[in-house]
Amino acid sequence: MSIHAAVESYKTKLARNRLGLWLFLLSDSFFFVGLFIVRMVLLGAHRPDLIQGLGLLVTSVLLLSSFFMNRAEVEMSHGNRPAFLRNLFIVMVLGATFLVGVVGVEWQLAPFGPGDGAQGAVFYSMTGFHALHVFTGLILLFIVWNNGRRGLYSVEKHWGVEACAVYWHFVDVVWIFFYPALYLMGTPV
Amino acid sequence: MAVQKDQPNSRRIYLRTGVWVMFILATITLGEFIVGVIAPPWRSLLLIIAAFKAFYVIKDYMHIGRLFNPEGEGH
Repeated sequence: MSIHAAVESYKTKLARNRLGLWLFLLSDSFFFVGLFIVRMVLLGAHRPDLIQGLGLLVTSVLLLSSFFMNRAEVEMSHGNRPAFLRNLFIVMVLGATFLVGVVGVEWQLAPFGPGDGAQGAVFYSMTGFHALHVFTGLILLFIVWNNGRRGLYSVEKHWGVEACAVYWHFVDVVWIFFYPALYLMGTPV
Repeated sequence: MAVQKDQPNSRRIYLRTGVWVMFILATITLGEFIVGVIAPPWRSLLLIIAAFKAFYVIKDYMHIGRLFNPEGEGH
């Protein structure tokens, strides 16, 4: 196979990979949209009785992780491997902090349990399903970080990094909608 | 943002765009928090603000444009 043909083949494969990933995210988003609608229907003008400051804190941490994820991808696409690894490590730390903030702190401080009516069902299902995505994102981040450490990505070929970044930003986008729905909209139940 | 990777300053431009988007997200999130605290019944406004934030993340961090313009940025 000539070099030109190989490049074209890779471009075609990359375009298909991107389409496949976005279709997966689209299908995944249906579940989150469903959860969001459930919250609007069950709680309406009320919201779970949560600490708003803590919500702002974990949201800031997740947004900051997206910022560093973007930096990591840019650094890899320009061949700066040390900066890529450094930024990706920061993303992992921030992601883990978010997870601890929601599951380790917020779940403990919430004055209701999963079985305590609509607010319990809504809050724990929304944050639980989102936390599961953050957790799988952290696993993916570690795999990509380890691959990067072993030098498996190059300026020309780093689809794994791009896919991981897009997935991580998707998790961030979901939280962008969940945060006001859980912490800001309406009066506490 | 239609910036080709082989341009000499593209790295700096991408990083600067990332900083700019982060600044927008931080500012809007703070505004969103204030709206949520002082006027919780404004659900529509909070939804619009969330959609605005999501737009920036999808456009500049997730680079949705790559889906429709594969020649623009290749990995």
